[in-house]
Amino acid sequence: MKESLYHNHFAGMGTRLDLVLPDTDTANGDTVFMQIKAEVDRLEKKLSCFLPDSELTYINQHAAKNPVKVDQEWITILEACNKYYKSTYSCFDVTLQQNFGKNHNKLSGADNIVIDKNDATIHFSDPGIKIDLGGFGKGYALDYVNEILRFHDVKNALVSFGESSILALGKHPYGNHWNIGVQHLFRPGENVFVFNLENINMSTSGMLARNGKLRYRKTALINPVNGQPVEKVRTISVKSAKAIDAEILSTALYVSPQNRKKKILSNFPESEAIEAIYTNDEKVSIFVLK
Amino acid sequence: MNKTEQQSRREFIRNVSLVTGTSFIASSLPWMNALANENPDQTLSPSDKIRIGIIGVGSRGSLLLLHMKNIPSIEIAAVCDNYSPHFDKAKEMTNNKAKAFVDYRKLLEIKDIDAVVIATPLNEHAHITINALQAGKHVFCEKSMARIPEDCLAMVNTHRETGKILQIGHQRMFNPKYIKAMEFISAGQLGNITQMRAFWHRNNDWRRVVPSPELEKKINWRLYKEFSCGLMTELASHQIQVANWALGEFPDKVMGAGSINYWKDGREVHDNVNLVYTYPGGTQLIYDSCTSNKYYGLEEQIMGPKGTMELEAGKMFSETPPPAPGIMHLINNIEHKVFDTIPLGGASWIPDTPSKNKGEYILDEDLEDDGTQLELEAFAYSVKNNIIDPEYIRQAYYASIAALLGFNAIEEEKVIAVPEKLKIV
Repeated sequence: MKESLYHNHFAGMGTRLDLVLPDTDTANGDTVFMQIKAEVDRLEKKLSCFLPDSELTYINQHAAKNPVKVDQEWITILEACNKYYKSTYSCFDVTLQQNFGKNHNKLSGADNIVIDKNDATIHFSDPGIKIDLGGFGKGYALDYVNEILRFHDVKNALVSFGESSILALGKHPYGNHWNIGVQHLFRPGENVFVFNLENINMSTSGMLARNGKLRYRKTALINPVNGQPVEKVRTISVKSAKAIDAEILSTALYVSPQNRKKKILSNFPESEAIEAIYTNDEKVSIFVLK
Repeated sequence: MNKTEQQSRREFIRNVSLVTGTSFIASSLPWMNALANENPDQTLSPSDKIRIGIIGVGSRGSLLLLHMKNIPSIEIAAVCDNYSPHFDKAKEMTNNKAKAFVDYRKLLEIKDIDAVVIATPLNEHAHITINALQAGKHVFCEKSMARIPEDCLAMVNTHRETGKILQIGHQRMFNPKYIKAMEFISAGQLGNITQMRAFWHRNNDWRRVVPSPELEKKINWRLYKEFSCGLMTELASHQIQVANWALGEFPDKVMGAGSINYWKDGREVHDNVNLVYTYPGGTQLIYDSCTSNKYYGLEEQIMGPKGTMELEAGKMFSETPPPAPGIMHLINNIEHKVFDTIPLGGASWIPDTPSKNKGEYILDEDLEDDGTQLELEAFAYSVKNNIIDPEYIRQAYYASIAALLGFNAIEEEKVIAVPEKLKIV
């Protein structure tokens, strides 16, 4: 047994974060863990649209009526969201209509978020929208986790945020990298594709399966072109140097029309994407999207 | 019960003191000191044995008798019951070795009886207990303490005046599963307790067979207000004690409603009760009991921001999810120096719905003891060494008071606060 192996986990952002540090002792591991947990807690209180007292809930309640004063981090986040909105050809869109899903399937577009850098305010030019950072938060948080690990001089680490967003730092103690398998939705324990990761991030979007069965018939992701939930059974996995890029690309490519995927990927030259498409008899085909 | 089981229970008790340290025992389980210190292997001489008289040898009393026969430090010296079938059965169970009485006062006159165990109908607890304490006997009395709050107070006062032990039969206070749970709660595993729920549901008429109509109230005393407060004193008091113990407070007011909505058979006590107890720190205990449906059974649920405990089931449910299976796979591989693919990539994991969270057992193994045997062992040890634990009687007293005031709140249809005159320190 390896002498120093630290692992711990906590609940956050509606899922769980698992931390594995192969050559870190308990005292140092606990220090890193507590700092990561505090950072994720801070971000959840800021970015969650589910917590009634989060900053985002306040913004969603007020930004359509009046410009809302925000801190510099919000300006950076929303500018990044706008940038991604453009570079994914509107496939990554953090805005939704307030009444979405009831009788209102119109999408709005992240360009309806008006950012005033001088006054440090944001305002919704379309009064019906709200912001949902569901496809952004985990990646954004993982880049902070990466900084915390590097600050503490942790060379080797595996961080899994909800199993969909992975940060692999350094290498497995008995390998030259980390091998992460994208799991077969209907055959638990079987991998449809294996990524070799070293100092890189991976993110997967797709339908959630448990014990070989789809957890929900429809996903939470919305096709931005027709406003309908994405229904085809498949997953998209993306590997990128930055966690936020991996997070946004996996979401954008998952909802993107087929003919836009190459165009989107051309804006992210250092990222790689794999699509797994399942047929009705649960056979799977793998496509490298690069 | 075989010797191994006895020893494993004792070991458990000792482990509690080792794992939790003496401060937890002293602050939360002082009544366990007796067992923690006892040497189970010692050989007992006849003079080491305590001589016990059992008053009331019906269903509960005979069960206590059977348990006491397993305890080497106890000699059952006398039995007493004023109902002849129970009187005969008690004599038989002691192989006619114990002296047998119909009138408990005669039993109390025996000089070399050290202690009595009282398992009579509720309305007889107080005067028998008080007479026994005044006669110089230590007393183990079944719960609840008495039919009215003032009698409970009189029992405590007599216990304190005479310096004789008064133990009330709250066996969960000696149940290893509950003790371990309280250790976890005390260590903050649930966070601060914010809500408690307890219930006891049965689907039967709660009646015992009556050989002749004039014996109805004598046999089915639990159904008549003169003798009992029904579900409140016979069932709820156990679970209120657990809630008080878990929270570390005693309720200061109660509201409730109840009725006879199913068993309209001449009984006087409610066949369903529903109450809310409020504690000084603002936590509530929501309690209900019914006798016309058993689906939900029996449970005490203790909830805090970090988790939930279901004490009857002996399970703990963390609000923090378990680690990802792929991560467990990875850790196992690293520990065995194996480099392998980690099955991780997939859609974002979300927590199970409550019905799918199976929880974890509080104790690894079920010791199959509800605490009855241990509470009697502790009583014997306390009597032998004259150990009086003031916290124990406070637990028992406030459980009884809460049950009785709950009954009154239902009867009077109003919120009842614990009156100052009933508070003890």
